[in-house]
Amino acid sequence: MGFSKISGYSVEQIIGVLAPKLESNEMLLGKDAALFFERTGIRNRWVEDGGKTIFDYFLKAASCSLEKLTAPSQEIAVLICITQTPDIPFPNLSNRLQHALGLSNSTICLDINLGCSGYVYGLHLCMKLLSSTAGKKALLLTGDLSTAFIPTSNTNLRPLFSDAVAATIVSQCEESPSSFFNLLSYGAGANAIHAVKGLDQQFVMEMQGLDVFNFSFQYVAKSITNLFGQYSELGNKDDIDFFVFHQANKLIIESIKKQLKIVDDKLLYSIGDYGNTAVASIPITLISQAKNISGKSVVFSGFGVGFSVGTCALRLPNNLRLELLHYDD
Amino acid sequence: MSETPINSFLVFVEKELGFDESEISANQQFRSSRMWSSINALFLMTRIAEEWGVVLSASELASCTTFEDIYLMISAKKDGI
Repeated sequence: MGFSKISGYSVEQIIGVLAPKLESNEMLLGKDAALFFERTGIRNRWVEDGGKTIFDYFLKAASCSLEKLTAPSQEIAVLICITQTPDIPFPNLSNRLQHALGLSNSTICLDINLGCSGYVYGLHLCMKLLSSTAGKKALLLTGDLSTAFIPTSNTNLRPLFSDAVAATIVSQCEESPSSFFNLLSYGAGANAIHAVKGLDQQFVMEMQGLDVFNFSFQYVAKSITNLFGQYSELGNKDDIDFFVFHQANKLIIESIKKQLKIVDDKLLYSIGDYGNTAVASIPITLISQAKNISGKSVVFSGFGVGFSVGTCALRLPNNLRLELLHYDD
Repeated sequence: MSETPINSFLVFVEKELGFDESEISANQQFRSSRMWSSINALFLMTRIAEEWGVVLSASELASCTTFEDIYLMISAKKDGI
């Protein structure tokens, strides 16, 4: 069973870093951009085209995140990087970043290859690893530079994706209410989104949009309903303040909203001006769209490559720090 | 257009994709219709899933040629719509 309940940990802060270059879909699609926006909800996206790597982005987000801590090297016990676009196959990002950030040699460092469900999996792992150590805080770095895998000539996929990362600090907080997770895998859908080698031996992204929709339609709303069914103390999903779903596209998000009968005011969107930021999309949405989100109850659901689903319900702290910047800020 | 199930389906497609009334027919090859595109195809399948609870895979849609083929595929999965 993929259900899990964890008590005593909370999200303390989230820093988002977007790529610096605006790439509008009007530039890419011309007159077809209006219909594309109507269907997908995506107007603008941000792309990295200056040669910076995911290591650079994670370092920027992490540095900004740690600057508010009094003694990061003593406080950070866990460092997790989740991406599908590492700069090099090995060594892993988290070990290199532990050194670059000046974190302790006793930091537990892990890289995880996971797509759009990865943020929820990462929160779960951070809480679980902290609970097994004496550490107080975990640094979770999630993000992808997806557009490097999609040439501008691919007018089906390129208009969907942005490049972005997020740094989240999860901390021990004894008075924090419990967090509830439902983590699922539907590997039969592995070919719905995958990387293949092109003629130049470079990997490119391929996606069967219809199959992605079908998996999302069948399993995401159900994962949320089942989470509430599993844990009666969660109450009714109508009592949740905000729902933040992976920003795949409007068609998918709206279909999940309809299945769950979520009112518009409770559903957060960032896709219009930020596009699909892959494993960073939940934190980017939270940062960019949330008004008065501190202290609120939220449901996150990430879904995609794998096909993988991660759903959780938790309460954000009253003093949540949120910042969104561009790489060149 | 008479109220047969296939005609109701065609009216649904016209409304969702923005065709003019009676612009499409059951045996028309949908890929050559003026409103067909990958994004509209995904939109139509989304609406079909919401309306009838039936999802067609990419390979199932690829096996269809006419609007009637799509209708029959959905009917088979739903035992008639």
